[in-house]
Amino acid sequence: MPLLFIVLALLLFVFSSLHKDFGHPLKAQVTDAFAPILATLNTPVQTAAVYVSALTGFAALQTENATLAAENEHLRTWYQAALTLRAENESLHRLLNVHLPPGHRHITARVIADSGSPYAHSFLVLAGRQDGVKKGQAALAAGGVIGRVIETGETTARILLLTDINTRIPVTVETTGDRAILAGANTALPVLTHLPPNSTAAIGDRIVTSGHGGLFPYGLPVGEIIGRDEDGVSVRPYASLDRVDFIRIVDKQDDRTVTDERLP
Amino acid sequence: MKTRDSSFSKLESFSRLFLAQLVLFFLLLINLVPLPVPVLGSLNPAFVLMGVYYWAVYRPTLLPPLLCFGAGLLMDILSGGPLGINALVFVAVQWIVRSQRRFLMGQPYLVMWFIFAPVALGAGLTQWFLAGLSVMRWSAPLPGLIDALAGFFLFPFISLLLIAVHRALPGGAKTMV
Repeated sequence: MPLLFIVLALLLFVFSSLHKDFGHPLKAQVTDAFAPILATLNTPVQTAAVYVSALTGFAALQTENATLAAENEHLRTWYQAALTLRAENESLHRLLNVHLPPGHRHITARVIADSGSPYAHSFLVLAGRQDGVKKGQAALAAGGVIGRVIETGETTARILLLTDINTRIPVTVETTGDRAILAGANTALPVLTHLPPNSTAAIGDRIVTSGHGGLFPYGLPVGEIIGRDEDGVSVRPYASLDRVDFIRIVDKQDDRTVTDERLP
Repeated sequence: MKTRDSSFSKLESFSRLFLAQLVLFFLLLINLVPLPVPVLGSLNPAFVLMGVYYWAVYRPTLLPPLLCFGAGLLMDILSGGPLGINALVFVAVQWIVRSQRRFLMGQPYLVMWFIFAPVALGAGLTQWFLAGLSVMRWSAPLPGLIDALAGFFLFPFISLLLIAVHRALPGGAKTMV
């Protein structure tokens, strides 16, 4: 009897490994059905998290407050600079008659579960097709990109994280303009692959999405290079993946500036 | 009156019988919900495996292979990994442990706890191997080994819950403590 189930499990494993969409509508329906339970269980857990950090984190809060105050001072200066730059940028765009791609809509969603396994890095979020979530959309946490939507149900969606071994995101090294692919490795730090051999990308360089392949918009912050050796270039994501409560899914509007202009 | 009583007690024992499965379902859920504990939050100790292991030793009839398979498959679906991995691991663990239960039942709690270490390790390595096989790329197995270790140290806490449930079940816990 157990042997029968083992064979059945192996068959399921083979089919779902060969066809990534194997059992798709059913899987999404089951996930949708269990989402309310996970969401309900998640609420007291998050409340507990608030209390835990309130109890353990008083000293940490004080230091954080000091750091934030210093950072705020610094950012105020930058804010003024940014305002000037934006105005300048806009007037230059008008002068050159540049057609910018349209802005993006964001869908905010609550994280209700992770994968519960060290060999699959994903989040289950409480927003699905009925909220406009589609497969392939980029997902952002506080600091930057955390992954992309790989599966959608009616009320839930699964986000494959940057760190998962199956993740491949086309990116650009901001300072050098080199294109590369950010690949997850099931560890905390994803790596850059397909970087041009003569690239001068160095530690501290910002990595942003390149927009190639059309799934992600250009310029979303991803992370920064923190190590470069023979093994490869490792990137620390800006988004902290340890404790994410909410994420934003980027609903990219189609860039049709070219076709719109030419069509009668 | 007498029949009513017996049907009520039937209902009670019926609901009590479900208690074990409910606890297993709860363990499955806490495996998926990110825990708020600073270090533990990034770990994924195999809570469900503890339930599967415990019931395979003390009440194998409560968790037949079909239920292990179902729990594993649900875990696979909700965790978003390839289907069949957890289903296979749970059924196999239940099968192997059940075949050794005559030996395990006579052992003191400490032995039962220590034997969970190779079980968790074996399960972790199987999950690592199959997850890699599914994409033909294997990541470092270390995180899974750390999870197995965390599972080993958390086993006493979860087994407290399981023992409490075991006592509440009709027949009670005869073999424990």
